[in-house]
Amino acid sequence: MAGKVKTRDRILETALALFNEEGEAQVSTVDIAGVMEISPGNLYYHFRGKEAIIEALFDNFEEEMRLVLTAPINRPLAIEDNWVFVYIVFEEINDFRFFYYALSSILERCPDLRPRMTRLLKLKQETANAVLKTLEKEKLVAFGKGEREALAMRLAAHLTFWLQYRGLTAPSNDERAHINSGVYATMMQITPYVRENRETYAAMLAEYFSSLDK
Amino acid sequence: METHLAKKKKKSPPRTTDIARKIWLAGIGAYGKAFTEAQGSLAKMSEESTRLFDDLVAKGEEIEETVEERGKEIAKRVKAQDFSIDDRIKKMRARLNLRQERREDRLDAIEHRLSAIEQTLAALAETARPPTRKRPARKTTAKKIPAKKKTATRKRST
Repeated sequence: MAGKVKTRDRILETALALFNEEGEAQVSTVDIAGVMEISPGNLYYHFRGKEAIIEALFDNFEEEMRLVLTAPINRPLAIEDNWVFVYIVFEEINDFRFFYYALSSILERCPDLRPRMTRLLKLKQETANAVLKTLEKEKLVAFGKGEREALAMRLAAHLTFWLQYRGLTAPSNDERAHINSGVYATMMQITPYVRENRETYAAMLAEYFSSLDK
Repeated sequence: METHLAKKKKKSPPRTTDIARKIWLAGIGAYGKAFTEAQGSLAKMSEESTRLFDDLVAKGEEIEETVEERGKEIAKRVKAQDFSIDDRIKKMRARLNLRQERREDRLDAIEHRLSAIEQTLAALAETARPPTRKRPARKTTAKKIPAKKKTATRKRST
């Protein structure tokens, strides 16, 4: 029994690694079984096809992403934790990037995932809004009417699509660089709303992040 | 680049509190606390931004009394922290009850397996019969790329 559980987990891990590196469309269940040195029949015993694997991977991702996204809603982050938080969101997405890269294709084949993904995206926006609200309350940023909500929406979209965008505009295998640039671009979107010493803030952001890329 | 950053950090620990305070005084305060991470790059800030920064610090000192309370509190928090962004990410992940073991660590095991299979396949390829040609060819690419990923992500965990 224990062996079975393990095989199931190994299938998921292997599938995730292959999907992320090769693109989900390029990888078949036979490939996964081959890499694991198990028979396709054995794999089929655990998962009835690739979609079942994708859905199981999504279960894991969703559970983890919910933990991440609800944290600042339940309890405001200490301010110095905000960008650490952004890093974590990007890391989670990066670990599951095959899904984001093939979003529309996968949702077409796994229609059950669509409402769940929609909820997750909504939650992402709520989280961004909650974080911005905290910053506003601390008088670090100021928003005109409707600006906070609009920014929250842009941040949610940014977090969702940044890695694909980077993959197209600055292709490289350096995942950490992609994440760093994503965090930088996130912080820069908030800069216009910083109440004081905006230029210094922006200058320091730029210096800090460019120092990471050397 | 992580190690690069870590090295820089180690070099200048004594300046931490001072920089934290300066950042606070510069008015980016709490928001910029994360910037204490930037202490390394602060040191080599361009002349222009250093001047700008000093101006702001001077201005900030004028109103220091009003912000002192909070500045102290933040400086304390900042000081208490390890300045490695990686450590902070790790700590926060723990607080959020997330996986501590990042997937890429577990991928190590997979990588080993993959390279073993790659060798086996290479040997097999020589004796492979034509009908089975297609699959092995594909698996070969499947195997190579995770290996690449490993080097790309490796940096993070160090």
